[in-house]
Amino acid sequence: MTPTIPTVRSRLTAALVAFVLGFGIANLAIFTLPGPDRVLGVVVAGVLILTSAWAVLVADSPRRISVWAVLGAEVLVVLVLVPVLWLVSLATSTGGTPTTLWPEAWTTDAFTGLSGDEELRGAAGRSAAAAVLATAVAALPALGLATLLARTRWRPRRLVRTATIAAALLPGVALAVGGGDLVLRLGGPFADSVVLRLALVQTAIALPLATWVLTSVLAGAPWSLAEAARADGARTRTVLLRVLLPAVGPALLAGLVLTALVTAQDLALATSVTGPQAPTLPMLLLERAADPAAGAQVAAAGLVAAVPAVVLLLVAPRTVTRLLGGSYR
Amino acid sequence: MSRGSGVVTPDRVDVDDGRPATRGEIWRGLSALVLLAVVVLVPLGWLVWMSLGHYGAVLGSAPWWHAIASTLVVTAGVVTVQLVLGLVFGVALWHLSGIWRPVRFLALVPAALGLVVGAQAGRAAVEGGFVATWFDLDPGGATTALAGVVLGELWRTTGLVVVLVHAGLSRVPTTLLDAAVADGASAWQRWWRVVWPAVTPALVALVAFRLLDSWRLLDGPWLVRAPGSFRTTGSAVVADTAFEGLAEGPATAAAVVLVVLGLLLVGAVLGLARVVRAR
Repeated sequence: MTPTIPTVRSRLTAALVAFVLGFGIANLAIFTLPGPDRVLGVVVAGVLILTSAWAVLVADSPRRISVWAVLGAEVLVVLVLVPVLWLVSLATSTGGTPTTLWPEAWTTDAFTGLSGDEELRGAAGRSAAAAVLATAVAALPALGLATLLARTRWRPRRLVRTATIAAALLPGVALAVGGGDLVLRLGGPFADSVVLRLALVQTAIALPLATWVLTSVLAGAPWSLAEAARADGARTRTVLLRVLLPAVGPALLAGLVLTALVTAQDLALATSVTGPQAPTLPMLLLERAADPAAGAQVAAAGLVAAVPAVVLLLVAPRTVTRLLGGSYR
Repeated sequence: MSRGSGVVTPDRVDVDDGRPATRGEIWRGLSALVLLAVVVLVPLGWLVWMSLGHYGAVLGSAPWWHAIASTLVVTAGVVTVQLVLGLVFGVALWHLSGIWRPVRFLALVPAALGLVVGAQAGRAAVEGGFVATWFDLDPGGATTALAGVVLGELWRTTGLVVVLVHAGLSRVPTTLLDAAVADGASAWQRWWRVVWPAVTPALVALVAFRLLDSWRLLDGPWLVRAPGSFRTTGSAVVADTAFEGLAEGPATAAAVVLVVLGLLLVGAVLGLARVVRAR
């Protein structure tokens, strides 16, 4: 839509809301919050009150600017950054739980300690290996099913699609209690390898999720272009390599990376096939988080473990949004 | 693909919808369905088989129903708060163009963090952390701990909900909106007559997704579980019973009840949404 010019009343209402919010936060900060947090609160309140003043100035402007959008962006960014700052505060604390949002100490001991923590490295490696293996096992079948769902008028496709989404959202503990017992009875390589057992049970997460995201990817592929190339005499391999892969390859890769990252978060299924002697990263963090004194360690490990997902968001934010919103169609 | 919004709009999706499936495509799709049956249906079937004979103990257990009540409260709270915040921010940021990219990135960053880490941050914030300092909260208590981990989950996933609501709003047909503006429709009329009907399917899908995701919440509640307390979720009770209590029989029956209740819940919501839309 061509955005309409907001009315003066709309802009002045937004200015009033920004002022009330800023005034409330300023009062809370000045009268309630301790030292460094007070400064943070006053800064946020100052930004909101300045926004209010700016909104009054532009209220009668013919520009298509939305004060609500600017205010919404400011509040959302604060709501997101407060907990991120809290996590940094936890990770840089010297011991125990810090009492302020702004870091009390800026020690990097928890971060430097991660590299020498053999147990943590082992758990992270186990999680990554199992998630990648489960995603690799799920990728080709998921691609086949996604093609069927996205491209054709296969009669049961609506039912299959619903079943796939339902499988992706099943309580993990139900599959863990049912499937863990069965997997532990398997012999051969599964009896010796924790990673294989983990990958087998985590395929229950990776397969529905990969089907979900790959259906979104394939729905956006330039099929008519592929058909045109084929009509012009291009061979299947040429169509695949010259037309389809350049168009959907990056999204395909992003979808599989996303699947592996979500699969690596699993706690319930992993707990059913391995124990404290060979935990995955979520299992180890859960065990350590039970002790409040280990808060810095857990927060630091969590921040470092989030780096791959943050990189994916930086590299392909639009693709990730599209893949996650794929269920809308 | 719509480049501006980052969402595939229905009028631009290049899907060959009318083509029947070839035999090769069906076989390739069936391989996934067979694998899905092996990794999902077989464990579920085994779960149901193992649970036979244990339903009496679960259905007659007061602590179990207390935990289910807590799960309902947590689920309803999370979904309601996220839907309201998602709509408020989604609508406010709808026409934001220049700085939407950095805002979207920041909104999605918490979702990149692990469930355990988010839960631990939320618990620490209310148990002696900055939230306890700011609002002078008393330390301890199972309810405070559960509220803390739910706060962590809310923080972790609300940005994602905002981005998805924004994506849903971007699907509203621009031609209809332009026509409504040309016809002199007020902002409220445009919202109720054009935007709301177009965005409702996306919102219903989002509510169903968040409902099931909150219903199965495990990591945080399991982190703060206290022996004998019903301030926890059904998933945490099942996990505790199966992996810590080693009472597999009752755990399997409880898991089946949890799945059935979750399906009933989402079915009720979808049915209600269909009735409301039909009016």
